[in-house]
Amino acid sequence: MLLKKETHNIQSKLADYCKTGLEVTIEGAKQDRLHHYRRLTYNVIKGALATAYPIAEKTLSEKEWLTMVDDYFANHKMQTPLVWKMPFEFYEYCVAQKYGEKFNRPYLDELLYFEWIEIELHTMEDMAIPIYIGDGDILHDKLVVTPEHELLAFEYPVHKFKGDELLDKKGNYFVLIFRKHDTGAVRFLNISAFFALTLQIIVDENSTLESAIRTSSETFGIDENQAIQHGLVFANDLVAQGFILGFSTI
Amino acid sequence: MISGVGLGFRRDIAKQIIALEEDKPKFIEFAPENWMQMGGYWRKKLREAAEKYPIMCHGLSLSIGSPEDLDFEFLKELKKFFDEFKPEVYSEHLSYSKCDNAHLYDLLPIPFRQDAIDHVSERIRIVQDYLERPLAIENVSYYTAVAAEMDEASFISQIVEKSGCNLLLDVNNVYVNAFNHKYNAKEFIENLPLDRVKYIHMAGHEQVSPDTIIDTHGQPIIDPVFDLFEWTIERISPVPILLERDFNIPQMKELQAEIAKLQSIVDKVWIGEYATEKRNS
Repeated sequence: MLLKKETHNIQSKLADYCKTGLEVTIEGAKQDRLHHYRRLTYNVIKGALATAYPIAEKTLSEKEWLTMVDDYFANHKMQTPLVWKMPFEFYEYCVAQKYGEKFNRPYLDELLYFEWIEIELHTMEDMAIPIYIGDGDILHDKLVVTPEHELLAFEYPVHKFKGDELLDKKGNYFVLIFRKHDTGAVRFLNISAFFALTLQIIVDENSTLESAIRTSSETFGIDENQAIQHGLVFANDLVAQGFILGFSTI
Repeated sequence: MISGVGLGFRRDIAKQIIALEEDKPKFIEFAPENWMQMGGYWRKKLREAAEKYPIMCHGLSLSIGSPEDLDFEFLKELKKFFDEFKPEVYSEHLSYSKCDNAHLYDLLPIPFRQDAIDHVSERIRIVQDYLERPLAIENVSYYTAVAAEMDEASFISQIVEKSGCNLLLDVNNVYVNAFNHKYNAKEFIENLPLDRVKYIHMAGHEQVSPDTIIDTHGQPIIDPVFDLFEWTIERISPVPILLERDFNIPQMKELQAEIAKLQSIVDKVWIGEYATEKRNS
């Protein structure tokens, strides 16, 4: 390494000061100008996080939000060189630090994740889509769905309610969130546990709708024929919304 | 070879830039880090823009002045991105934005020291070899020097000399630094290896106190910076010029007017009075 330890230490001092804001004396630096570096770096982090998590920022008190932002910037070593991906590290940090428990906001981890996954699905690299055709039998043919999607299971309905309205709504909630192939827009749908399982089977096992509904009906102990009627309505809605793209050719 | 005046490709004005039919910038520039590993809507927009305009890339996260090792995983992704978009020039800031394994996402000043020159020059050579393309380093604005053992012009010049890289001369940064550190901007420019300037950046700034200007890219270019630009390009061979605007982005017409003003200076200096008259007739 051609860089002297002394120079490295000077660079580390400035970087540490940016991260913590704790007063520091740096050789040959104008002390009254150093604060610009703290302000500029801090604003990048604070701004990117506020943009990524607008609902969480509004839901928490300013003190709670800034505690998370300040702790994260001071203590976490941001790994991604892509600033748009950095907020995911913030989510992971907040989960690890248990801020939801500390602030008595048990829905916080799920809220942050819900906000992040919307960004991720909107922005993630395009995934390969199997060849499909537009005409087919929705019940008996294998379905092709948009690959940029996620099935989420929440204890709190963070996709429907805000803030402390969530506290008395602990339960089991399922959300299908996906990127529309044509426009790139992200949509989310509140779905039942039954259809969450059905979709999971269709995606994971490449099953037909009918086969997936039979398995789900058995698991939930509900009438299969009735489930198929509901399933047809559900599946046609998913076609209209752009989640089901068409029918597999293989 | 790209020539003329280009414009920074930012999301806020992406659709407008793509839709422009008249008074188009000659090229666009964007930070690869803001578009890498992306798909969906924004990838489509970037592809549309790349079909319409020549491309320059100006990096944010290479952190050429970092004390630690280069991030080869990042360089690999960068190379893949360049293979797809084929930028004419790849430039980066002569600064560091990562230290002790933590990104900071802004530009910190490298100490103007001999060991830093050796260290940065070696890193530039490695990057150029790996990417199989020259790197142009940009003189950055800084608000305080840190543990300096020499002046900024010597620091930059020696790095350009030792590494064999090119120079992206940011004229606004020279103006900002000259103001903040009370030196003569023209003397500073004269002390740079001007034959290595391959690209110029122009932007606006904001004076936040009687003795401090912040390089915001959030305001129009002021007349003294236009004057310094004209004085500078009289001393160098023709290179592409970029108008940077990152905040408080105005109507496209205002940006086009700034581009036209830069182009008129370029035409006057590099083509001559006759060409300007002919263009206006």
